[in-house]
Amino acid sequence: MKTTKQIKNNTFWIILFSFFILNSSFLIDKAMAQAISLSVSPPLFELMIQPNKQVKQIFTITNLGGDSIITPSLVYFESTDGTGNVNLTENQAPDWVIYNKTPFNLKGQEKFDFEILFSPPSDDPEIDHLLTLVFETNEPVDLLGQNSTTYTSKIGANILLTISKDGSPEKKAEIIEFSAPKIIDSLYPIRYTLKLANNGNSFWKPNGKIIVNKEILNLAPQNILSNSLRKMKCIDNEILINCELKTRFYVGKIVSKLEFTIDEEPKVYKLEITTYSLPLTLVGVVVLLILVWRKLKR
Amino acid sequence: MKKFLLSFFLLSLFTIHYSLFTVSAQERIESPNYRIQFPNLNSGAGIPTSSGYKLDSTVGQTVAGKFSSAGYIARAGFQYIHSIIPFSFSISDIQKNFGTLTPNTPSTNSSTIIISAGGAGGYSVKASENNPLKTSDGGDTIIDTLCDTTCSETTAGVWTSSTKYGFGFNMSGNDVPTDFTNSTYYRQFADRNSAEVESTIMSSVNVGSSRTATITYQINISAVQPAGTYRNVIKFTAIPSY
Repeated sequence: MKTTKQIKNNTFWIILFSFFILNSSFLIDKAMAQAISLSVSPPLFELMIQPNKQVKQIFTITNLGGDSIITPSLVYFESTDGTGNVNLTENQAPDWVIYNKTPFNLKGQEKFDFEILFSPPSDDPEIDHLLTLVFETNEPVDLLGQNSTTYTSKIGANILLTISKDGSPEKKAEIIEFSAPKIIDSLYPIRYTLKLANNGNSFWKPNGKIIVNKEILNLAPQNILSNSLRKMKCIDNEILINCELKTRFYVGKIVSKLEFTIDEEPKVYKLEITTYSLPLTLVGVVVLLILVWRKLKR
Repeated sequence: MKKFLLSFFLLSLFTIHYSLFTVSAQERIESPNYRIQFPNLNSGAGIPTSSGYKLDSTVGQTVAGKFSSAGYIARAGFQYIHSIIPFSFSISDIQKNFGTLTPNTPSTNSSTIIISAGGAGGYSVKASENNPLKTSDGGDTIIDTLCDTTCSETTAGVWTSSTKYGFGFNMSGNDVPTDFTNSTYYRQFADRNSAEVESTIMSSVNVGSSRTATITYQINISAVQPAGTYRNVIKFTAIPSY
């Protein structure tokens, strides 16, 4: 039989514990309410469409920060540096890309499905439209009235849109650079530099590999936009990596073969380069050991 | 019996707490002809190891590169990552307060930026200001810093002197420009009012999860700076690569 004191003691701990749990939740919510936290999915949408056809795509924007008014826009982007990064322009998407431009309220912890309808007219030229869907937060109200800086943010998702009447737009590739050192120490791996250019009318992805003896480096199928070049990466189990051999101790002539196709087209682009791998470090160590040995012998 | 009741009460409290405050949403992409549902991956846990779904499949076609009667080929996400992970941007504040400024005594404050580009091949974050710090009537301005000798919106410079005035920022952490050599290096913000182009403050060509950087602001004013409340608006633009 518990005494009144023991019951009071238990009640006290229960109330304290409940207060801690509930209060920590409110603190988290309060902290998040003072941050900007947005995510957009999918981050990339690729579409090839015939004129006079329609496709509707939904992008989901999630707000994990405080309540915000979000203003959507759809603008053209430009490729910047050959690595896939973009610069947004002020040019708006064509009027046959239809979406609701009205700002909307997105509360914290909520998400919103944003619809875009692509409906190119029959006379639209067969070109690529490189667009970014942008969601911009509004400027928060200044409650402090002090020396301060206030934040707004934009988050985007890229849209690569190809207009094609037959689904086979002109695609051309050029190998701008496929290189590796001419001579390399056999203890060090060979690292390749690969730059591909797109001289066609539509973006594409390389589908190929670098073959060295029995080792294969798979090219990452990264988009190369028309009239631009891209420094390519390789891929290993969904991880982008530098195009670098894992095997190190090659000695002698090493022939590296680059082979790729544009998407799934039949034409194979090929290029070979030669590297001479010499055991420079090992030779150096042996020479050093001989010199030391001869000196000790004297 | 009382111990049992106490345990039951605490367990119930935990259950109610997590059911109320845990987000468990579902993402989806949708088209008139298809809908694919997949788990919410906003936690930035990186590439999921389980891929019971494959989203690099094209839709509305039967032969690669050729249209079927549908007349379109659509693909969402990145072909080399067999799932769609949202691109996320967050910054720890909506406003930074510099308080009362004292002449020749630099005032600093910082925010944390986190990017998750798990489903993207890379990303960039750019920043710009609507104008330099100004009073509400626009009559007085705290200039953008020129650092101890020189710096700009694209090149950082050392700013340690308490007799060099202005407003600037330093970056540290993941994927920040290399000209921010250490915490004494500052840049000024690109001024949109002067048609300056927003400059990159974080970027990577690699897939990344929870890439974190700290932006630290510094203000230093002279004794002749007119009294007033100075404000401006910084805009951050986060875009994944293609």
